[in-house]
Amino acid sequence: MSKGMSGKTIFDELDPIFHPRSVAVLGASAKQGKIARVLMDRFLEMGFKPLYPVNPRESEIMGLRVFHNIKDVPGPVDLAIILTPTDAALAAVKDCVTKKVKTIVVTTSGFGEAGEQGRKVQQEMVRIARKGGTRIIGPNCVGIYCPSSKLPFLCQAGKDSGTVGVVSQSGFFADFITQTACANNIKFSKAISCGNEADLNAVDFLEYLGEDPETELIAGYIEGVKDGRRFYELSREISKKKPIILWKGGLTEAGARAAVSHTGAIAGSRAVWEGALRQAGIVGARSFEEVFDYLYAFYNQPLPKGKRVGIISGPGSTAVGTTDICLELGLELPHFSKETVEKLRRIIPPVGGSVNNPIDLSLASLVNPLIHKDAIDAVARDKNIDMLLLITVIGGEQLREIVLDATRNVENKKPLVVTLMGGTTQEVAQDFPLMLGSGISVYPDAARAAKVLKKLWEYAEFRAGGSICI
Amino acid sequence: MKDAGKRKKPDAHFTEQTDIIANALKEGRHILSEHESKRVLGAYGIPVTKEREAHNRKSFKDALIEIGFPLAVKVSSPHISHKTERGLVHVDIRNQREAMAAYRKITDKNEAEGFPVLVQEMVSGERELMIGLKRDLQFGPCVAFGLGGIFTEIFRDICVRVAPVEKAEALRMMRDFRAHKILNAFRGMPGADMDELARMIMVVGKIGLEEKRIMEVDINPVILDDDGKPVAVDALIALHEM
Repeated sequence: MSKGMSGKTIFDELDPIFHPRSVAVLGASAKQGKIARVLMDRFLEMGFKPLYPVNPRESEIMGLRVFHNIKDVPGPVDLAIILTPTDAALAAVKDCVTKKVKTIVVTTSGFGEAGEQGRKVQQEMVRIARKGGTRIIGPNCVGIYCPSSKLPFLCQAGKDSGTVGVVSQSGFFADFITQTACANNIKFSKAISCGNEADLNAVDFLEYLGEDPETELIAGYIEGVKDGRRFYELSREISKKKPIILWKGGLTEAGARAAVSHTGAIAGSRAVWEGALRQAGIVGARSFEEVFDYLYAFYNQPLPKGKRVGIISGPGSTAVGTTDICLELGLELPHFSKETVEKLRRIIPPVGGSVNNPIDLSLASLVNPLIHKDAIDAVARDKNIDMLLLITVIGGEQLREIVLDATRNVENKKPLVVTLMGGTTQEVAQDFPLMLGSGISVYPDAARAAKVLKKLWEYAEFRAGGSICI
Repeated sequence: MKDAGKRKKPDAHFTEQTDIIANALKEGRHILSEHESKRVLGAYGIPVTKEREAHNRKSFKDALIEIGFPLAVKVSSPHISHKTERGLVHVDIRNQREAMAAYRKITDKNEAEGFPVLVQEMVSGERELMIGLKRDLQFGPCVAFGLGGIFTEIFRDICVRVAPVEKAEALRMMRDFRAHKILNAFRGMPGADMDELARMIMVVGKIGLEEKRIMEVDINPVILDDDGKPVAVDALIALHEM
């Protein structure tokens, strides 16, 4: 554990940020269409108290007394969220420091990411805050989410507390991942959007989440870090305990240019980043969809003991095509054991199907969907197989029950990912929340499901010390 | 140069490498010659080609006997680039007559005047790799490993790791570059000595962490010889401008 300025660990220093006794919202508003209104709605939904709206031109907002200046708030304020226009933000920071606020979230943008003048104002904010012992998150961010403390995010990220921690230099990423994944039954411990990182940065929060006992899995988006070596060494230590699913933006030259105007971060060399991520055991993602793909697997599935995949497919074509993809990804498709083949012979019709790996259930899977269950059970018990990939043309409640029944009684838990091909696009779309809600990792494309297995395997290998493959 | 004073190792190898770097810096040079680079790398335990610098005809002839044919002859200077294009490199020399002809051709050139001639063993092997050290602004010393020789620039088939590189990670680098099958036994060639390659990668990382005066190392090619053993055939070390 590294020590901060005060000699305390990062965890001791940052944990109080997530447990404020009171919150002030500077620039609070009841006007529909304003971000400040959305945030007020969220705070009221979560039921956080005491909440102090601050606005010089209002006296009451949504039934709450409004203070014209934060300095007028009677009790102490632990967390202040600044939503004012750009030109009023510095004065708001000064008022917060005078009020001895412990942490300020500056959501307002138009600072370091906007140019030299903005950078100076941002530095001035930090200078003032440091003098008063106040920490700043942002500017240009959406701040922090901590359901166990009733701290909301802008989007509806859920009221229940869970095990996933999010750290992001992009506000949208932090908001969107919590909102979307929450709708799919994933619960979060904390989420932090750190924006321009004038004071506290993504690596500080990564270190915090690494030490946070509530957090078992971390998902993040970063464009650049000030101290790559600290980021690398820290991530490597964290990855030994909990997976970090990280989307690193700005790997190409054009992407790096875009990052400067997005969060002001220096994105760095691609080859070095790719190497460092791999070496640190980080589960690297290249898009929003990949982050979700990996999150749904790492959250719901156990880690595999090896890289041997068993494919159970309804259609023969996807059985064959997905086998190609698995092998290209460096996974293996071994023969099933004799017992498995015998079991499969009894359940799969001799004409049109295949009892070898990959299994082709053929049209029988539509006529008699229960053969999915027997096939999953047989493959899950096969000692030659470490992970299962199911490609199915059935869906809905029937599939959900089959998968749950098939895996319930197998003692030796293995990762199972499911590709949904059952029905029209609209029908399949409805099946996603249904399956994810029951902890079944589902994907719309077998290639994506296969890549997820590769990532599970790579991480499992890292956790085992790189020794199981060589 | 303050690092030189701090060194407490009485070890002969360390003295040698420190002297080479210190001398170059004293002369205001930031690039070590191929020969100097290999002596530094050799002192760290990197397998390098057997080679001798000859300062006159007499020592050149002695070097031929010591190294043995076939061999390569080239000008030894940190200042001359594109040596091959300038006719200052002669390879696969099979006998004394060819060697003396190469010596004359090199010493006749104006740009080679005043520089020694390097006599170097020829390493036979088809497979060329590269190992390098770069200092990244954000990550500090990093090691690169990948396809070497003329293909380095074309395929850019290189993977990078942050130093220090552990053995399991070095072995993983060898799986990660696209042409990794080049390390297997094929067409009658034996498989590469993976342990030795891993050790070289680890040593280059160690150099990056320990020898702050070195800015970059480029060992290219590392040739896999007939036994699959890697040998640094060409190398270049760049020093920090102090």
